[in-house]
Amino acid sequence: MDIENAYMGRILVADLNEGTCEEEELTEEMVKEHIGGAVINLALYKQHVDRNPIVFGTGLLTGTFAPSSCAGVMTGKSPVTGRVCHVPLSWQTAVELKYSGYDFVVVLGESDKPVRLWLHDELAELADAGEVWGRDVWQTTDKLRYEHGDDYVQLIGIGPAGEKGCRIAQISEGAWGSRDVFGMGLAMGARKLKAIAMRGLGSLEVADGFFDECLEAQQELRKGASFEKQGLVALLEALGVDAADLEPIKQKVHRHVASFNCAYAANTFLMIDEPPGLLKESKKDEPGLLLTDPAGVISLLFLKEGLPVVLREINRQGLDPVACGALLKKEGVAEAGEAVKRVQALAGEEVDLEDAGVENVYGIAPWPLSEALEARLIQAVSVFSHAVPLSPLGGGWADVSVGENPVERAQWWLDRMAVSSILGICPIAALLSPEFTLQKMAELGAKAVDWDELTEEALLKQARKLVQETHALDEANGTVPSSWASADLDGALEKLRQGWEG
Amino acid sequence: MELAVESLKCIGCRVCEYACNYHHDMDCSPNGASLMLHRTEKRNYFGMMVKREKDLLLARPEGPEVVPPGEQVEGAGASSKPILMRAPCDLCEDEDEPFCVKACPTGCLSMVES
Repeated sequence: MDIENAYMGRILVADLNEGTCEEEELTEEMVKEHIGGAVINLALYKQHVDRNPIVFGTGLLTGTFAPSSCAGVMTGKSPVTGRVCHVPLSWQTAVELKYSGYDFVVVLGESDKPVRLWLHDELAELADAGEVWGRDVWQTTDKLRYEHGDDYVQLIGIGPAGEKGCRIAQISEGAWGSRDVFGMGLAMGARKLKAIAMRGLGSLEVADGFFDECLEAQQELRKGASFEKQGLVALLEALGVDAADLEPIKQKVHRHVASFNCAYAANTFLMIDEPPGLLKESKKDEPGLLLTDPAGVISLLFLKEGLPVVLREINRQGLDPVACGALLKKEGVAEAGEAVKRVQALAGEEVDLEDAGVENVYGIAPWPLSEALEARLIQAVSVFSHAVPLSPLGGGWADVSVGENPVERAQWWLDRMAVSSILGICPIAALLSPEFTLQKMAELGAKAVDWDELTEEALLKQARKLVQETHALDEANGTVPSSWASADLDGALEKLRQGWEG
Repeated sequence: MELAVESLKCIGCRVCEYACNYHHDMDCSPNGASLMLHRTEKRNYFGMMVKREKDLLLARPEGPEVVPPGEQVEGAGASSKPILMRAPCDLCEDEDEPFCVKACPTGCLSMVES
């Protein structure tokens, strides 16, 4: 195996109690045993479980020529659900992490004063974060990029919500929202870890023929019907969101933006304070926002024209838009100005969805669209983020040859999420392209590192083990909503579990 | 033939940078690429900068701008400077098609008659 084609070979262990950063080698044996991404994250989590670790990791293919290889994964115990969760990282975040010289970062313990981690060119430094503590996500991003003299520094950070103990605090990726629905912003805030900033000039070796094989795979994917469109709004349409509800957003669409090496631009920028057709660079510093999270947008659609300004504030405060949408709706706050004020206040409150009378699954806001049993089943498993849609995008279930059985559907989704979190494939791309089979993903992985043993079967075995072991680590706090509780759900959950164990 | 950039087709995925660097250095990284995505993130203003033999092509969304050597560009910050030190684009001589064109998923990059 040529591990240098996939990984930099370094694990960083940052001890917040001691204020130290130590390096460990990422060995070929570890990759052979776990492949990469979330499975290595989980192994590191278990190794350090006494210190309540948070692990940030990259997939085997993250940052390579493999199509949609933008993804990384954050693993840790959700302070809300009580279960270990895997949150996908996208944008340029995970790629920058790998190229900064670190394939995995393990954060141990907690600091008694605000700190930040700076990873660059194979160096790691825990620095005082007093200057950015208390600042919102956008101010923090600006300040740290300015401080490091580079606009392309990528960040995983938190806003005031995570600092102040709010249970619906979300991690941010740079200025934008992430796909964290598990309150991991609070997990960072409780450790007084304000941000991880990353910039690197690393490089990976490339196996002979890998570049061409990846380009061919990408060209094949682009023939899919989904690629006739671009942007987050088209994803929402494919999910069945009413076109009339999307109209206020559509009118503000500026340009669509892709995460690293993604042929489908799953993010869409909305202009708020400038005409959407503006081509020149705005003279305003903050004229709009990037939509990154389908679930968050769906939750906030009831705000109509007010959605962009409210979501901008949610992003700035470092809050989960899915939970904010559910709360604002419950409280009957639908006017934009009022909603912005409420969002600012929420960042300073503890926010317990159960106490607030908001429907929740183990304390977090559910996927806002589907009441299908498979969607509830996936959330009852509560291992991967449901900010990522819970069904295939584009052609639907028929397109991926999965029938009506909710257990099979949930298993398909869990397999896709697990495999993409191991290899570092964008979870949206994994749902968007039926042509991007697990076999194809395994072939690219095998080719990348010249490792014949990486087969679809081996990948699937790791994927099932990942879900089973993560799910079995802890019992969830709280319950599923009473309206979900049924013999059907329990029976289906039992069948899923038997599937992993078999 | 020359490299053309239809800037509004760009989705900012950056695979062209890695493909270009692969041509120059045979590894996976954006560090030695002759082209580079310029982006001011919060304004969603982005486009490709291409280092060419005799000048710099700024494929701005509002239209291309060719900058002669040594000329200052308004709005260029520290992050834009590395492009000036890169090897110029050689259109992937010896290849049937430039790697960036092959890799670009949206047709933003193409070869046209000069």
